[in-house]
Amino acid sequence: MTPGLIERLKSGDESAYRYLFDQYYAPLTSFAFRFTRSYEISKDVVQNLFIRLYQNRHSLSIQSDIKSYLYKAVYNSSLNELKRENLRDEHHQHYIAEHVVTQYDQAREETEKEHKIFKAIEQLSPKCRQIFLMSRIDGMKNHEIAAELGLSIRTIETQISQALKSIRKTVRSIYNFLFAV
Amino acid sequence: MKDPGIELLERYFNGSVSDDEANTIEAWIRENRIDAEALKLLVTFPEGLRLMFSLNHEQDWLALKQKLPLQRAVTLPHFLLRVAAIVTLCIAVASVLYLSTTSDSKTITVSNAGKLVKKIALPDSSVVYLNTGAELSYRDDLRQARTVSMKGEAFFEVKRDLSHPFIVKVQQCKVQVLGTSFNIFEDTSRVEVTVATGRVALQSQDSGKVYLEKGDKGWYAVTTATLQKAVNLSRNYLSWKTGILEFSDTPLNEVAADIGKYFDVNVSITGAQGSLPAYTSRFEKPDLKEILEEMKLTLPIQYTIEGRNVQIMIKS
Repeated sequence: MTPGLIERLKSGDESAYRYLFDQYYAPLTSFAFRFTRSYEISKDVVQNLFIRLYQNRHSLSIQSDIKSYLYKAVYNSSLNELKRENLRDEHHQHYIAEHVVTQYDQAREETEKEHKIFKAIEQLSPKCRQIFLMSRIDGMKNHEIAAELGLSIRTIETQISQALKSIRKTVRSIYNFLFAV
Repeated sequence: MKDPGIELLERYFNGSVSDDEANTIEAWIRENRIDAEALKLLVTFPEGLRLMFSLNHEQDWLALKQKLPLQRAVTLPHFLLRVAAIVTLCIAVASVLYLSTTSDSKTITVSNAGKLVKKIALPDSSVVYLNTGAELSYRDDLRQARTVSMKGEAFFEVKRDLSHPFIVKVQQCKVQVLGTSFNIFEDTSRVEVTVATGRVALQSQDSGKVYLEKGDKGWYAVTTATLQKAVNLSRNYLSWKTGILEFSDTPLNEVAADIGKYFDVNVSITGAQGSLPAYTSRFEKPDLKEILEEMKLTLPIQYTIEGRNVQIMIKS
């Protein structure tokens, strides 16, 4: 962790909050979504966490690491939001009964793995990233992407191959990096 | 062995492939020691991952920031603080004057405190990559007046717009382009611009202007206040962004300099370099030890790493 981060958070230093936001906003929101099933509520949960963190900064005492602290706080708030929603619809109720209660560890682990992939994709060159996301997020076939971008199918295949290769490599090096330090 | 293609992989993870196809894919996974779990996430793209891409990171940060009265970190000596206070006052007066004459445009500052390169998409579709520790500021009405300022190191891919020149302010220099890509590195001793594509004008307040073409680099030396220009010989000026370090008949001291910059370490060399052969190799997202170990195989050297200090000893 960045040295003095807790002290900088306590002093209200913008760069420290920005750092936390950059590192954790995407994974925490995604983590909240696993429980709340709502994009808007998940964003609110994480934004409110940052606001509380700031308001309580003077009495901040983090026993474990800050990452666990943030995940745990998002978990608790998400469950509270669910209760407040009063389990309106049946699907929701069913989902909560099935999935939520004990699955903190597993949900966090899955989110962190997805976040690693997210960061690796962010590192791709703009063109490669665009093609890869068209394929994976928009669910477009290679020939559809080729037609849309005015490129050959061969080029699309090569770009996606490159994306797969380079993402795997980055994921591996992030993994090594985490455990080498 | 080439990967089986995204469409086949997708069918594999959906369970709709023939036994032959499954065998081919599994052989490929084994042969390349692929983390099958990561591959599955990458191919099936579950909703948690999708959601991360759907967030508007920058906009959500600004929304949050408005709710927090955060402080800007200030670590300056006393007299500088006084100067800063006066300057701030002037700026405050200036911005009040300015704000009263324009609509409510805001300055957005993005800094990279993390370990990974940060990518910023600007409102005019230009893209900026920030190296660790770098900072970029721009106004949210950038589309009308394309002027930004920066500190540290950044790579710019500027969207072509002939009627709106794109200007980067860095120290007392101005870098002006129409649509091109280039790297800017800035520290206390220099501002250095290296052009990847297109044409760039580098201008300083006190010593005129140089034009740089693709493959050139130009720099402003702070101490002598001079502008200079040369052909860029470094293959590694973009290593911080690409993760690739490449050496081709490179003398050891240049290798050491590139490694030092890439890993943010101090590299010192002891022993006579005179008879040492030049070094040739290529690394993708390497770690420090990996490079030094590989150098040891072809060069008569030993090395030690202590914290941020790396020492390379040439054996006589």
